[in-house]
Amino acid sequence: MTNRSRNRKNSLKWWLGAAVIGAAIVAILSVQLGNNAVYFYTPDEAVAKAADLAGKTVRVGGMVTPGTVVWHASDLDLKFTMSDLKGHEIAVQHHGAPPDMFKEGQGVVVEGMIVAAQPLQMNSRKLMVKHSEEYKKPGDHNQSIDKALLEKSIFKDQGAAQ
Amino acid sequence: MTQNTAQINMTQNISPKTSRNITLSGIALWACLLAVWGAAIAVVPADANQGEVYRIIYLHVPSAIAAFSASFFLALAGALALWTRDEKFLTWQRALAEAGLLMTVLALVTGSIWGKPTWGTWWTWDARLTTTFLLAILLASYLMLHSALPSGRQRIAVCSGLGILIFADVPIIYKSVTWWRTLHQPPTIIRSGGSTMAPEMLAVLIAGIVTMVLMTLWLAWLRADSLELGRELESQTGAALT
Repeated sequence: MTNRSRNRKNSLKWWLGAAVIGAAIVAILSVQLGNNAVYFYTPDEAVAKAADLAGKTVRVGGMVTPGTVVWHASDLDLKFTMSDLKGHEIAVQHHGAPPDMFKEGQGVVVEGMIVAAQPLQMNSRKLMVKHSEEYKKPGDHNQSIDKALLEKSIFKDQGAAQ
Repeated sequence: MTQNTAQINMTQNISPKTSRNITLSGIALWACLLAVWGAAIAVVPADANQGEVYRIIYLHVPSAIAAFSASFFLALAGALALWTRDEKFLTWQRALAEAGLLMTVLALVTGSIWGKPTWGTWWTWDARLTTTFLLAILLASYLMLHSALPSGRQRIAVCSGLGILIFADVPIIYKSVTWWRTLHQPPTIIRSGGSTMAPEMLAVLIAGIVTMVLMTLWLAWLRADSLELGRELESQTGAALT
């Protein structure tokens, strides 16, 4: 075998290897991040799938319903209702101090377990705040689109994970 | 003794002009970077929702975009290396992969530090964070592969191929917050309907992005230049330096 043809054969081997690695990366990404594996469910999806999801650790994203937050600092007990603003509600129970940006009307992603289906209740293990992509000066609340952006980002493709 | 002589000859040959250009542009870029950081800390207003903590955006976003740029130039150097089979472009790839890995890690670390007070967590496996983590892994594996293979045509082919593949992750990272539900918020600057940032904040952020991208290319230039010097010394003295 000449040097040249050996080189060509080796180079083909490496290209095949690279193609396999590339295909594997694309496959893993599409399975891991495709619609089969959503990062969080919306409240209406969680309500619809409550029976399947009961007893499993899941993430559900929604908005904190104003007037529902009850916080007992002495025993680190937090209760609130999150909703998709379309009537699907989840009562959340969390133990621990909430993140600084947690407030009524804020976007949240709750990681935990669904403990009751009717009405839907969740025991939170990890409470995360989802904020919008808007940055503005303090006091500059004119034409703020903060809430609309947040709703658009949280309730994207609602119902896709059913 | 002969090695020392070769070294002295080399340092004289390596074009003092290039060396002076690197130094001068480095001083200019560091001055710009310090000016941007000064503005980020003392000049731009605090954010209405997040308060002072959002100021880390002036480090976080520029390092992420600098990592994307380094990956782009890595792919470009990969294409040029495959085209010309010139070892010079492989040296550039290594320098760009190193600078890109530095910026990716910086973006991950600053993001994590920002995530704790605002989101309430240091880390979560959403699409944006996972694909950025993947970029760091890919750049690290590129560097491992580069140092493991013996120099020659095969290393040029394999490393350049991987370098081009790595860049495919960049548009996925960028679009991840649009394609999938994530904890990370969608794009602020490049979006339909215009930027969602106050103009005085945006000006400093864009200055930061431009400076950080140039800084990364400068680091790669500095590194490629010293790798090139090492390679020439190796070929003259027979010592294994790089």
